Amino acid sequence: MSRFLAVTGLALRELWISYRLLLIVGVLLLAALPAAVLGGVIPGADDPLAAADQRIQLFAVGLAAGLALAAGVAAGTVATERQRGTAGWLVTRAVPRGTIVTGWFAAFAVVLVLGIGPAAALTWLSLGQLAGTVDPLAFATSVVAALGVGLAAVALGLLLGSMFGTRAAMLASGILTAAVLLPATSLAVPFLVTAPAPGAPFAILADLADAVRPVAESTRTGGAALAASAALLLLASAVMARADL
Amino acid sequence: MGAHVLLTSKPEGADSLLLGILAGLVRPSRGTFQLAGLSRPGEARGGWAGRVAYLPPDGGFYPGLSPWEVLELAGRLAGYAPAERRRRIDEAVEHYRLGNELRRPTSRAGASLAQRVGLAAAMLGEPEVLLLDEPLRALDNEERWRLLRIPGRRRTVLMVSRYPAREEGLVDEVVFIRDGTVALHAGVEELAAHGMTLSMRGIHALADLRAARSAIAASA
Repeated sequence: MSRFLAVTGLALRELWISYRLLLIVGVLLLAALPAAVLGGVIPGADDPLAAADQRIQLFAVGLAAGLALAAGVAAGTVATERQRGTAGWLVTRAVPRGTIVTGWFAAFAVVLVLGIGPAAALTWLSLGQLAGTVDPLAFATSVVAALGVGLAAVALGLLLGSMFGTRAAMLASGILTAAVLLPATSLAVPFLVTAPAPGAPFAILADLADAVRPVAESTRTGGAALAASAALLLLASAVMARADL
Repeated sequence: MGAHVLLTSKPEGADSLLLGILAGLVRPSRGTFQLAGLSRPGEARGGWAGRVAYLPPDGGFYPGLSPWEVLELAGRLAGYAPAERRRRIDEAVEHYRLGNELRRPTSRAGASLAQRVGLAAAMLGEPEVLLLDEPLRALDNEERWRLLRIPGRRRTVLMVSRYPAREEGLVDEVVFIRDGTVALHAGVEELAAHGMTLSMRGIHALADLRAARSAIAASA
């Protein structure tokens, strides 16, 4: 446990001094901006429910872009750790390779919470009077489910970063995450929710008005995303265990 | 009793690769080995650490950390209690002369400091086996000699160097790997006995001489 905490603390420090923490948190906070700025000028926003939905959909799009960035940064970080020998430095000091992966995962999880939490709060506040048309519990659970997807995206980045070079891992993780999440913000909820699609929480978030049971669906799809995170993390640890450092 | 061994190779890089394998960082394609009485890192609690220390040419640690942070982290990962950690760090700061730059990121302080911090962190746990890859290249000869005269009668030091002449007085055995096999394993005194110096030329010549003698003995 102490080694895990030491690696997590070290990872957070590295993310802070290299401005990667600020970059990810900043981009995730920017996700709240379009909802606040553009929401009011979208045509056909006379219906309060539709207007609120459109603003939340913009938030979902920004969030998806932010998570694609986070996945790419996670991949690049682990690949760099391997290539510059710092992962090796930890391994020769009794830190299990799996702990390096989980330590970085925990650090990125903290960064995602720091970014998504305030961004969601800002989006909710920017709804103003429109907030009355949306169930706050449904919004909160769909945001938490989106966080679960973000953790899966980071785990995917850690997996690819354990396998490939820095640039290839960053591009593959970022593009793959964006390719799954961005379209999900525009797809019909019933289709994605009935199939266990990785972008389902984003479809629910982007279309809260049409979700039949948004809290239940968000909880279920968020849980699936967390399970996927765990599976990807185990896979990343296994790959790291066989990697040359 | 521990030996101080110089490891060199032709083509270059095989020696560093072997050190990486011994350190548990690179997976060997085949074969087994024993180090500090263990045949693989999993046999020791927490891997090799505590028994074996490895120092890559650039120190290998996080460049944004200050020397104090590197030593503190190394001490924490080695499992020392705060008081014991503090004592060991204080000793290392004095021995490796890190006092002036203790709180400055090593990336801003130059290669010399980074290499001294790397060795200090490697020695913090008093390892039985020390694997050094081109150690302390950035230091002047006198300071390098002072720090690399590793104390401890039972401590084995395996040092990779492409400039064997610089290791005169620091090693007592030489291992030369040529094309993937051990071409020479000899004491330094054997080089001197043949009128050869501790240099790549001398090591090659002794390896060739041994090979020629073996060939003659085989043909006879």
